[in-house]
Formats: sequence, C-alpha cells, structure tokens
Amino acid sequence: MSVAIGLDLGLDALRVAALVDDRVEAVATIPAVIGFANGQARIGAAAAALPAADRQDDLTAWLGRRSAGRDGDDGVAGVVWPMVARARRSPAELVGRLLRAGVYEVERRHGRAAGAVIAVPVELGAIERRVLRDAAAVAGLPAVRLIAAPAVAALAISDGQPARVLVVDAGAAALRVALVEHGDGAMDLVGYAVAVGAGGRAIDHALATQLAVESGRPVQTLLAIARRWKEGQPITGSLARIPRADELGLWITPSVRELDAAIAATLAAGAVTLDGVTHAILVGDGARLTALANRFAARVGNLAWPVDDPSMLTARGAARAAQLFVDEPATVIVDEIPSSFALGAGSAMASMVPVGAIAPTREVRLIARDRPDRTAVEVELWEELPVPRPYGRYQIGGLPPGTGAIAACELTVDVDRIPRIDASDLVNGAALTVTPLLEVGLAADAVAALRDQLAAWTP
Amino acid sequence: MTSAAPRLLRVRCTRWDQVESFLRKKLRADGRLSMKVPFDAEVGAPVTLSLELPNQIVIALDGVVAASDAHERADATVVQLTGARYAIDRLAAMVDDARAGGEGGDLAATLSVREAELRRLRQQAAHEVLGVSRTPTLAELRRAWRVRARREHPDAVARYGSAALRLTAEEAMIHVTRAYQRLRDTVCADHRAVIAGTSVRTVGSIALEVAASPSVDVYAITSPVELVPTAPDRAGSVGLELPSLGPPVPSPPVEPPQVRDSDAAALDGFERPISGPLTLDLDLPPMPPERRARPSSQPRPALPLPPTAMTRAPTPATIEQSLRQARSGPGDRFVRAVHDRLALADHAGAAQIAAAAYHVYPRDPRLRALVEVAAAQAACAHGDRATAEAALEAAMSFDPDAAEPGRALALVRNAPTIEPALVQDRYR
Repeated sequence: MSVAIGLDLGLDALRVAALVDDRVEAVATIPAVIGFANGQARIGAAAAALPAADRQDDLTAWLGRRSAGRDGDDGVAGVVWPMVARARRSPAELVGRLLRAGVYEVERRHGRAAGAVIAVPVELGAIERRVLRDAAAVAGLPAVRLIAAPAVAALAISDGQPARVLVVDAGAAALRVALVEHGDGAMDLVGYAVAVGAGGRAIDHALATQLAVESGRPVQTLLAIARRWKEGQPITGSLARIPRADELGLWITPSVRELDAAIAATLAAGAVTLDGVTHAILVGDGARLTALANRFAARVGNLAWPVDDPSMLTARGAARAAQLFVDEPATVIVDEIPSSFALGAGSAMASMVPVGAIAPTREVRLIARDRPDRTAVEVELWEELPVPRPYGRYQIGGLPPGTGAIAACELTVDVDRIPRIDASDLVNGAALTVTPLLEVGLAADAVAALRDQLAAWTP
Repeated sequence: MTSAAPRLLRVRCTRWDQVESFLRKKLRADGRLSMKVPFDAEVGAPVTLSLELPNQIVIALDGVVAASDAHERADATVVQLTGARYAIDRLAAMVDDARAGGEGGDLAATLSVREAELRRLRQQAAHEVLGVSRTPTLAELRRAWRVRARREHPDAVARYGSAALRLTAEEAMIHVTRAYQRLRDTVCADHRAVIAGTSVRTVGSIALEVAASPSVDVYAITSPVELVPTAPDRAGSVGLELPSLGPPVPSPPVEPPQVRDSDAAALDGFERPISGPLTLDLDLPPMPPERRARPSSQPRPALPLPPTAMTRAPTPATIEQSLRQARSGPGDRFVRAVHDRLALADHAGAAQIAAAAYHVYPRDPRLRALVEVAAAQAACAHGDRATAEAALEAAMSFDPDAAEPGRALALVRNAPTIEPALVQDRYR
C-alpha cells in the first residue's frame, strides 16, 4: 500500500488529506495553535484551551517573521523565535510539531508515508519556504514538496483534460485569486492576485470595528471574544449586541468587493477574459465563504464549478499531487518565481534571478577577489520581494593563491523556490567549497536533534 | 563424495525482461533452478549461481545439483538453491519496479538515460531543445514547453528518491525553461509578471515589440523604466511614456515576422544582426520629415527579429568562451555609442543605450558591463563613492577583459574627491 500526504497549511489551520493507493481521503483539520502544559506540547484544539501565555496562535505567521529594528549579523539569520510558555522556540520546531500532528494522523491509519506535498501561498518567500522545509524535516517526513495552493486546488478537480481554472481561495490571511492553466501533462499559474482586505481576519476586523464604534469597546477585545467563540471556548465577555444579517452584509461589502478587483487583476495578468476560463472554483473555510460565494457566483456566472467540501479541496489536491512520491505523476506543476534574488560580494549586489523566472532556475555570477593573497571570498544572498531581505552569507573557499582566480558563483533556485549556492573556479572548473556563515533556517544537526525529539512525541 | 570447489554458474541479464523470463521459466518458487549448464553435473555437486542484473547488482546463491523430476526437460540440470526464497521475492520486486518505471525502471538505468539526454541538451539551440521551428507561434512554443516540462521536471523523478537524479532533472528543466523563455521573449514581447496582476515590461521587450509591429513608425526610449507605447499621433508616430496608474492592459501576443530561409541559414550562429529599418534611435534626433510624413497605412517591410538562440547554460567554460568571442560582435556599434556617451560624461544617455542594447544582445557581456559603468559614472556625479566602486566591481566581473573599469576603479578608490571625470577620462 502506497501512502502519500497532502497538507494545506493555512493561517488558522492545517488541513490534512492522504493518498492511499490512488484514492484521496480527507483526514483531519488541525487548528494552527501550539501550547505547552507541564512541559508537554499540545497541538490544535487541546492547545487552544490553554491560557494565552502558554500557547501560540497562527503558527504559520511565524515562518519568516523578521526581527524588527535590529541590524547587523543578527539580521541575516534573524528569523524571530516566538516566546511560548516562557521559552523561545524556533519556528521550524513549532510548525514542525504542527506538521507532525498531521503526519501522525495519517500514519496512524495507513502506515508510513512516502512523502508529503504542502500547499503554500504563491507569494510565500524563500525564507519562509526554507523554514518550512526544515519544519517538514523536523516532522520526520522523508520527502516534501512545496507547491502553490491554487495549482493543487485546480489539480483536485482536474479530469486530465486541458483546462484554465480560476481559483479563488478565501483564506484567513488573504483572499487569493489565481488563474491556472493545465494541458499536456503540465500545469502552471498564468495570473495571480492577492487581496488582503478580503481575508477572513480583515473581515473580522471590519465587523469588530463597526461594533466598537457603536459600543465604545476596544476592537481588540471584541476580536478576542469573537475568536474564543469561534474556537468553541468559554467566553468571558460578550459582544455588544448580535448584529442583524442585513447589517453584516452592509459592513462587509467593501471587503467582499475586493474579490472583483482581484479577479480582474488576475485575468489581466493572464491576458484572458472570463470567456477564456473553463472552470472557476471557490475554496476556503469560515463564515466569510458564504458572503464571498454570492459575489463569486455573480461574477463568474455559470463557470462556477461545484465543490463538495471547499475547506478540504486544497488538501485533497495536495494529496493528489503527492502521487509524485509513489508513482509517475500524471501532471507536473511548474512554479514561477515572483521575487528576485541578489547576490553580492562586499558592496556590489547584483540582481540575479529575474522576476517571473520559472523554477527551477540558475544564474551565474563571477566574483573576483579584492586581493590576490585571499583564498576565500564572502558572498551574501538577498531576496528581493520587492523589499530586500537577507537570506544568508556564505564563504567560498579553496581559490588557488595568485592572480587571475575568479569564482563562478552559481545560484540555483530549486523547484520549491529555495535558493542554494554552488561555486567553481572559472579557470579550471574545479568545485570550490561553499560554507554557510549565517543562513536562514536551522543547521542539519539541529534539525536531526529536533526530529529525534519529535519522533518520541505523540501529538 | 567429491569435495571439489563449487562450479560457478554465471547468468547475466542486461534487461529486466530477461530477469523476468528467468524468474518465470527457470527458477521455481521452491528454489529449484532448472536449466542447461555448461558442465557435467553429478547429483550432489555444489554449484554457485551468480546472477548479474541490469543495475549492476550481482546476486550469488549456493546450491547443489539435485535429481531431475520426471517433468523436467531431459537436457536440463536441476539445482536446488538454498535460501532462494528471499532472493526470488526481491528479484520479483525489482522487476515490478522496472516495469512500473517505464524507462528501464531502475535508478541506475534511468540516471544514465537522463544524463545522456542532459549532455545532448547542453549542446542544443533553443528551438532544438523544444523541438520547434525557429519562429514558432506562441501556442506551439507553450505546448512544446509543457510537453518537455512534463518529462524533465524534477517532480517526474521524485519517486526514485535519488539526489543525483533530481539534480540531473533540475538542470535539464533549467535548460528547457531557459530555451522556452528566450524564445517566448522573442515571439511575444509582452512579459507578464505574476505579482499582483501587474504587467511588467522591460526596455528590451519594448524595443522588440516596436520592431515587431509593422504599424509603428517612430519610437523613442525616454527612460530605462517601465514603458508602454502611446497611441499613434496624427503623424502616425508612436512614443513611449510611463504607464498610467490604471489596470495594466496586456498587449496581444505579437506574431513574429517571417524570416526568409536564406536569411536564417546565413545568420545561423551566435546572433542575428539587426538590419534594415530596425534601428534603435537612441540618440533621439528629430525624425526626418519624409519618415514622419509617411502614412501609417502603407505596408512596411517585414523585419527580422533580434536574437533567438540561447543555446546553453552559462557554465564556466562557456562563459570564458563567450567572453573571448564577445570582444567583437553585432553589439559593436552600441558599445561604441556608449563609449562616446561616457566620454561626454552623459551617463544617463549611456545607461539608456547600454540597457536597451543589452536586452537586444543579451549575450554580450561588454554591454552588461557598460550598464554598470554608466551607473558608476552617475554615482560619481552624486559623489557616492561606495556605489561607484560597487558598480565598477560589477562591471569588472561582467567583462573582465575590459581594461577601463579596472583603471577607473583604481582612480575612484584613490581620488580625494569623487567626480564623473574619473570614469569619463577612461573612455576618452
């Protein structure tokens, strides 16, 4: 029996599906909350019941969060470790535990999995992706692939025929619209737009603001109450009043309208009109789905494709995509790189990977030494997103002494859009050593230690 | 009775179907091997079976010659193998894997096939990589790319769990997408970006777009940032301006003009020179009245498109070669034009010419370096020593054979005050 896992990693929850012998089944939805009680880690609903100081909500928001206002060497590797239960813990460990909980649910039922596909937002940067890969290793996954969520959602409804699917993903963090083209066994994104204002959190915030204006109570208090209520926890306060349905509709209209703009931008990026779209699907979860569904239906008309379980569709698609770990995949999903990378030695940074390059991609930059007696040069890698963020600093060693040696520095962005650096001597082609001095993500031994720790842990 | 050394029975299978046939016809599940042997076999004599598999694994099994059953063939010798059960199961699993894998199945065979393909890909021109004509339509190009991507993408070999195979596939995919993007840029000058629905275009593609559109008479590059063509004015001329803030309007794919076969044959090689009316009017002179007055409805001659061939990844060896080759090439006139501008300390003009020309001749490192030199001169004009040094260092790394950036860098580093003349003097 071959088993592979599909994971849909969202801001509020991890959704898990499994591919068991060509059959996809939905397995679990685990809230993205971790907590520690008496030194024991708790995940999901068990963690949500813990006091706020002992738990961390919205785990995935921590994947690549940068330390604000700090600079220097610390900044290169400066992914923030959140404070949970009076201890700083790495995002790779926290997200790794969440993934482990999902993997455990599948392996408990079906046995060892060959690998997992994690559906991630298209705009997720390289730093977040690197931390996520570490987290997957910590979770004990033998192989992992990060694939754009809209593409796997389109794969979930695919019948193998050429199609152009408009995917509207009503997420908690943002509403994301993508146009996915499928044909000849390959699938790629031709247009993409993000509307943060139509995300679940933004809609919650809009509602809370209305109630706060009316009642004079702080927005954050109302949001906290609403959240506890959603999680099924006992509520200590109360909302000022329950708004009427027509009021709700009125209040969220500006948010919902962003759907139109996002669809228009996506179609424009893909240089098509709605006539060129074969299917349109709405996926996601939460109360926002109902409001967005009306607008969506009005916008796309009869292109709307009925989805049985819109909250699990992306996870199901990811499980289907995970077929690649057990068998020859029927469809490969090709990703584009929406950010560019810059590589520099000393002060000279040069943009290497053009925006819109197809992953994997590779660029070479020649780096000369400033003094002939040096046998090593240092290079820095930044991600431009478009705000530049440092990714890592590397030492390229093994250059022969004397004049004329030039390091050909090769930047490869792999299929998961995670960069790596190789170097060779331009003169004789010999490989040079590349040593990370500082890098986003954990070192291999730290990952191994965490993995062993989590292997003994039952979520 | 005889305690002689066991006879070695070598069976060599070069294909998995041979292994399968051996398993089915010769080796029974109870571990009895029945086959003709090239030696006289007494009952009870020790025999070692050495089975060589297509993946270079050799399985050795010991056994003794047994008495023939009634239903065995008369000329066959029967060997009872010990511990054969496990080996048979393993062989059957390997055969199943091979059958499932399609292309020879096992890892070693797949890897050698893929590596051979990769060696071929490295030698091929862009249109050969994708198996399309020199001037494909966008639809043909996209289809060809998808079909290749389906095969070469690392996901297509992820099931083997082999790092070597993944890296081979990765490089092959890089070749395929590079060929696709290069041809696509030529075929369809409209780049699209996936970020938030914006349509990003570059100076280079504008040049191509203008060149490829027969209705355009006059054009000018006003700034090396995003540009979109304006509507033709009364005289039929088209200018370029900064994009408006409205939603981007994607331009339709531009079909490439037909290139005569004789032209294509003559231009096979490094790059295709620009000829005829395709000129980058970068000096921005006033247009001659007769050109301006030409009615736009008059058909224009078809224009050959600039370069299509991006044949290889810039591996170190080829970079070195191209550095040598590029000392002279079709970009010469632009290099001279940039030098002239730099000598006049017109860094803005130099940057524009170099940037536009580099997009037309993307394999000419001199132009790439000159973009940096122009930036260095601009930085000098602002008194920014660090940026000037950085740009000159970059120029040196792009075009190590040029002497000027190195000398200018020495001057910039040592000069007490920063001024454009430090760079300017090197280009006089």
